[in-house]
Amino acid sequence: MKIVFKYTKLGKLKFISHLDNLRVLQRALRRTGIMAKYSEGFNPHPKLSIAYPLSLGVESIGEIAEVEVIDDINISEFIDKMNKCLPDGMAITEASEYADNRAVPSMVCSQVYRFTISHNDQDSVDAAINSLKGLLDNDYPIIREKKKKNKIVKKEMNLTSFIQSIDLLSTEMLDIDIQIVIHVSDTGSLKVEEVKDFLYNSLNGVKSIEVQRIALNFIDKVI
Amino acid sequence: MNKHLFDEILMRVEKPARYTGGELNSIVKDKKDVNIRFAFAFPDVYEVGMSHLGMHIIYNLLNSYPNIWCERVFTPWTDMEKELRNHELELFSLESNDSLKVFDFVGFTLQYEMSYTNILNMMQLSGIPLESQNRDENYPLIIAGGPCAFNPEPLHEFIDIFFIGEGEELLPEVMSLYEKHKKSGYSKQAFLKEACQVEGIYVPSFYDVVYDEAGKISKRIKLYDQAPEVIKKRIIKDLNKSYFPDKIIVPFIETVHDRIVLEIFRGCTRGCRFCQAGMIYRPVREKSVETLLAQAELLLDSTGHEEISLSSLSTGDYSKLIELSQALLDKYEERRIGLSLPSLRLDSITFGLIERVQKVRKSGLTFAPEAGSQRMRDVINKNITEDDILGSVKTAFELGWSNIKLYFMVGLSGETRDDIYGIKEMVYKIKDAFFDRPREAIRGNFNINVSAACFVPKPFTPFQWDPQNTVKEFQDKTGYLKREIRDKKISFSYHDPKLSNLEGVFALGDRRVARGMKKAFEMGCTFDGWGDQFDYDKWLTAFIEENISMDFYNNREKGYDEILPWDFIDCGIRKEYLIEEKEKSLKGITTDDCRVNCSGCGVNTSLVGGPCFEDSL
Ligand code: SF4
Repeated sequence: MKIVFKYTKLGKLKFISHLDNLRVLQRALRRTGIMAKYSEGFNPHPKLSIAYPLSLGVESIGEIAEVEVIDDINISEFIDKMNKCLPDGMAITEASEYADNRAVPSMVCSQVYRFTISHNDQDSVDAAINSLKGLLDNDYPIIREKKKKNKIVKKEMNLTSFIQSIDLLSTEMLDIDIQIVIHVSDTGSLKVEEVKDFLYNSLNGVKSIEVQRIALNFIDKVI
Repeated sequence: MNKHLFDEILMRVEKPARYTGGELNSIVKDKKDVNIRFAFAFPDVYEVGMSHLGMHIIYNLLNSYPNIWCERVFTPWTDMEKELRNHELELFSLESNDSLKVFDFVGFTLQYEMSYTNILNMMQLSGIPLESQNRDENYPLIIAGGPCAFNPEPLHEFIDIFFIGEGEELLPEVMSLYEKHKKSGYSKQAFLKEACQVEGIYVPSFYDVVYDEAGKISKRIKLYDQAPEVIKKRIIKDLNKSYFPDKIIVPFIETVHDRIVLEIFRGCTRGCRFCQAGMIYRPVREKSVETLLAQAELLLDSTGHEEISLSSLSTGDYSKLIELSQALLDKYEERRIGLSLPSLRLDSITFGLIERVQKVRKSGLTFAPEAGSQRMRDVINKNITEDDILGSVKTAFELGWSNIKLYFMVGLSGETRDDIYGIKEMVYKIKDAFFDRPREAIRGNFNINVSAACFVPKPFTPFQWDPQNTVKEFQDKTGYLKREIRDKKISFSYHDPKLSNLEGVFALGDRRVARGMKKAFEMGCTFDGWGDQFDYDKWLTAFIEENISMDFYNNREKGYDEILPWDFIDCGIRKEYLIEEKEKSLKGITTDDCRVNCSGCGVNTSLVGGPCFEDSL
């Protein structure tokens, strides 16, 4: 039986890497006593995968993972048992059985983030709100460096072509919350740091930016 | 600490989860509810410290007392250290994030000599004066225990109290004494005076040492007349009844050993003459299969680890190894929990068992002949023959193994060229054994990993009087082997002779080497056990500047009548026994395993109060 679940990664847990995150989930599953299915091969590992990696240092309330278990289990029982075994900051908020043959990670089409931008003064806040609409009008080239056989290969990309939407969520004092949807394709996606730099460079009077991943979108319903 | 700054710093350092705490089963208490705050300090990085079973035992033991909160602290890696210094932040514990300065106790574990400068660094990073005499009631008590505490003198200036021997009973005793003092107005001196009366406790500031013209110790003087003459090590008589945690912390990040460790017995009956652990942990004490199964269950359920590792000095000697392993496999094979059997002796390998273990997890085979020639193995009392070794590897090859790891030592007492050459000969014989088989039987990618450690004579061993090889001698020997062992299928590696040399200085040092250590630390030496951080030249300079000769400690032969720096510690073994063993080694005479024949080391009368084994005489 395959189960897809949504979970949080908050507080100190934002400092654990993708691989460590996978390990935390695997160990929690072991502690529940629910048996996972294992892959075949020389070094068998439990069939558990995280839909899309999250950058180190970013919190999330909408992580998605998929697991295959041996015996059928009631979904709410699965959630209860897992939540008793997960560390503080990580909790399953939703889960459902998954009958599709396609692997969940291959179905991610975009990531949704909330950026909380703190400004130095009210003028900057007003200016930021006004300029949000036009942010995507122009190209914004970014350079990526890749190591290829001891050579550093540089690649130029247009950041704004990866951003599907920018929306204002709320304002509070000198903080504004915006939601940004970032496209995920075969050619890749954007890194949180790149979007942060983009915001710092495009807006004036920005003091600090906090980021949280809100959700992942899929080409079809997975959960 | 400012959360924003902390987050920013964590984003810049390597492996930030080393510093966040918050792992499953870590313990957070309310400061108001406790009257003793204890920082368990491991003088190495998080991944190394968290792999250490002793830390988990002490952490949970202390936290089992409602009035004590024990937290953890590890050495920050150099990147984090820079951040702390740049922002003038003090080193903090993982649970409360408080500076070590606010604790009642900071307890260091002394697992290897090369971690000593990290101890100094951790104190300095916390704003704690390094020298005991410069710390008044406003600072925590700095305490230390572990195997290296058996020669505490090189650290005597820095540590207030040493714990000699096993701490599971001793530590709570000292804690309750401290609580009593704290309630009636704590004074450091008054507390130390009472603490030093507890068996197993050594307070170095109550003693002074006088040296003769040659620089040897002429006598020890007591500065507090009630302080004990001799410090006797503490042991736990029955491990089945001693404290064991029912859950342990599960790290977020990968540690050196990501598995649960079951300590199946303490001590060792083999009597290898180079091995300090085999001497200081006597007598051997086994846990029952029942106890171990229960402990395994608790740990697996609370951690979700996928591997059990059986740990001891000589796992193959456990009298119920087959029974235990089979019970563990029967119970956990289905749950895909692997079993690893490290440090199995060459002569006690039970292949059927290993084969079954391999079904869950595949690994190479490890053997430790320690010396290449039979003569040398007799000298060190490593009671195995070449036939034993070849017989074992042949069986292993027939069962399909093709990867072998071999551990040797160079620089053993009285070693000759022939003994060194014996290492090469043995390795090539093993290789021949693999290929001298019918063609169709040869499977797999054959590979031997040979590793040579540079021998360091250790206190409380029959070799404690011996000079260590010089760096040059070590280099000659390792260089020779490197030239001799030339084969694509054999890889040869060896320990850094310079590092082993320094290890020898601290293992065998007296009070005066403390100055050299401090100097080297001030010059920037930390993480000396990490090859890329170790700076031998700085150490040489530091010792020259402090006018201390390294050779005096590790390259000089000492007489049986010389007062050795650690002689005031009673580890249970008679000094005469060590002398007898040394003399026998010179003649190449071996000593029986304790299980076969008690050779009367003294532990039975001094610590056990009867025979070490129920069935021994
Ligand atoms: S007293 Fe005898 S049996 Fe006990 S540890 Fe010493 S030599 Fe071994």
